[in-house]
Amino acid sequence: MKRFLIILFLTCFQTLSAQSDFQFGLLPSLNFNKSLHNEVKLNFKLESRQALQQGFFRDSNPISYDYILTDLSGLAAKKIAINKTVAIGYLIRFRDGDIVHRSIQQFIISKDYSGLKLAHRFAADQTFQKQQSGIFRLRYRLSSQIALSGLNVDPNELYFKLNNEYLNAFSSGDYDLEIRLMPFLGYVFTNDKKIEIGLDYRLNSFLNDVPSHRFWIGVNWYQSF
Amino acid sequence: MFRNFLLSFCILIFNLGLAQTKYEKEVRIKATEAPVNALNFIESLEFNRKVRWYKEFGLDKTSVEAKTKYQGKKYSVEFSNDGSFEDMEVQIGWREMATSLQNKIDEYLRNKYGSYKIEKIQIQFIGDLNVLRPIVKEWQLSESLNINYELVINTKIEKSFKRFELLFSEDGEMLSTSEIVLKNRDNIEF
Repeated sequence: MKRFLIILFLTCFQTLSAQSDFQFGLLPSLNFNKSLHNEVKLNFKLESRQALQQGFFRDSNPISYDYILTDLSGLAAKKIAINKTVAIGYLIRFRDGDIVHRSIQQFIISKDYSGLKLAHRFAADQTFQKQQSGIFRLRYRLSSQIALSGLNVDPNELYFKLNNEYLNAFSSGDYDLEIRLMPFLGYVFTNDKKIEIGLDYRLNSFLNDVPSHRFWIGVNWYQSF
Repeated sequence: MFRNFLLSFCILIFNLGLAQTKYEKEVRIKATEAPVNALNFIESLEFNRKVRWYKEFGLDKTSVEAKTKYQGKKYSVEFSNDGSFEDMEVQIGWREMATSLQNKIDEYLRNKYGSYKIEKIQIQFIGDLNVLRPIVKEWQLSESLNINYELVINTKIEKSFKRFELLFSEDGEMLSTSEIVLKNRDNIEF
């Protein structure tokens, strides 16, 4: 176990070495959920990415604001069992004057434990943009939510959320793996309003190229109707 | 006008006659915040794993609960605010119940809900605190104890998935039902 931790630490240290590039910025999002009849739910999400600092770790990089993109997405989800949900959706990305289109399919299995909620999300998405090859991704995300007081997260209580996601991207015969780690602190105002603040860390292109690290300060607002 | 009022009244009474909604909120507390006699009793049981203490807020009462795991079983011992013993619940499996009891409960659930899936079963002991020790230590059930069975089930009613908590007597008679309101999981699902 000790040896494994040392190897893991050295690997992380090497991937953060001077060769790597990075982005640091803000990733606020608004989530709106509407429950319909027959266990159907709609999810609308607005997310914007803004960089505050970017470059190579070895360089001194001044802080400068740079708007990157805005995502607008909609999902229609249907609960097929008390702990299983299927969803399909569409995302439109506005970036540098271009529009990117993405179709999304998801299958989610969730499980409640004492003081802990887990959700396994298996997803596929297909991204299309003019004059560029399509990108096909297969994704798996494990989300965990831990109540910080009591066994359930009730109004006016804090919780800790940790997401870990693996994204396999295929494009024009190329393959890349992206790994995401997202620790968030959340607060429930009422049963239909909550906020989360934390880090959204993304690592990719480390298999065949210079590793790319992205650190986003995420602020997520969830509102249900 | 009177007809509308009468209709509304009938609907209200009908709804009240159906399963109540379960409201409970637990807040973790330190052992030192638990009532002294509750703490002394739990210490006398000599659980060999950490005991977690919670204050539980219901709609009409508050209580103190000690939770731990012992010999592979999950224990939950509930006390009133002044430390008086209320009940002890131990999580068990379906096969640990007598076959006749399984059949009676299964028959009730099938008649009431059609298809269902059991999420959790707890055996609930109510009675003299002193006869609890042999249960914890040797799993010996005493006749002086009042035993109930608490089941949490998942089912589907009118195209909606529901979770219920049902309390059955030792003889398999249904004593109470309450619906558990499922928490919103949007932030970990989407």
